[in-house]
Amino acid sequence: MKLTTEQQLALILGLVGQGVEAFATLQRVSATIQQRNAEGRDVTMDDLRGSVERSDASIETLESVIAGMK
Amino acid sequence: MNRTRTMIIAAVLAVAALAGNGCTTPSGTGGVEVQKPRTYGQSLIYGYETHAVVNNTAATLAKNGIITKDDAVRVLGMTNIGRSGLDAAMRTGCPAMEAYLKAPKDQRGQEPACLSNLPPGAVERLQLAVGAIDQAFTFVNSFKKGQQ
Repeated sequence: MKLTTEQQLALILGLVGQGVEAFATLQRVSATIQQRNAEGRDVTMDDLRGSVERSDASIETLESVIAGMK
Repeated sequence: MNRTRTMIIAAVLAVAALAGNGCTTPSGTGGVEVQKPRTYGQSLIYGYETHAVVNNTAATLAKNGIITKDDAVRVLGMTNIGRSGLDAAMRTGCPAMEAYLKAPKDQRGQEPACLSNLPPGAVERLQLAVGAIDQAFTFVNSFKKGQQ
């Protein structure tokens, strides 16, 4: 597979963005758990709702990319 | 350029792996402090967040032609199975969430999401769902090896 310079740049930017998002996810989840543990209680409905919504959005993202592929 | 791309893919997937393995990896693995889930609700959150990371990683790889449409469809199928399991586990252990998710967003929900006394089988169901997501993550991660 040979990529053009533009494709390579798009790939790098896309994957770096994905890496940043994955790291942000790690930090966000860790922070939530740390906070709830410090409070001595389980996650709240808001905590769980945010995660469910991000999960929902990821399905739409992947489905949309698949729909645009040949 | 190709070598740079490979290095970036490896770095991105390594970071994603740290995020995705949070459910099963002991705290501190890999040099990054990861809070290990202690409760049912925390494990659910890890499951949903990992699900999102796997799908978004697959979308990025597919959009840039690193994986084929068939591979992307396969990832989606795998993560959908895990997601269904997570939803079932949530309905079992956190029954109030179903109504809450349908409520207007401005309604704050700071009360605990899940039951303190879980029904029998709830934990096992959740473990199966997280396992399915982990499998999808392993599948996506395998493309890193293909790039090296």
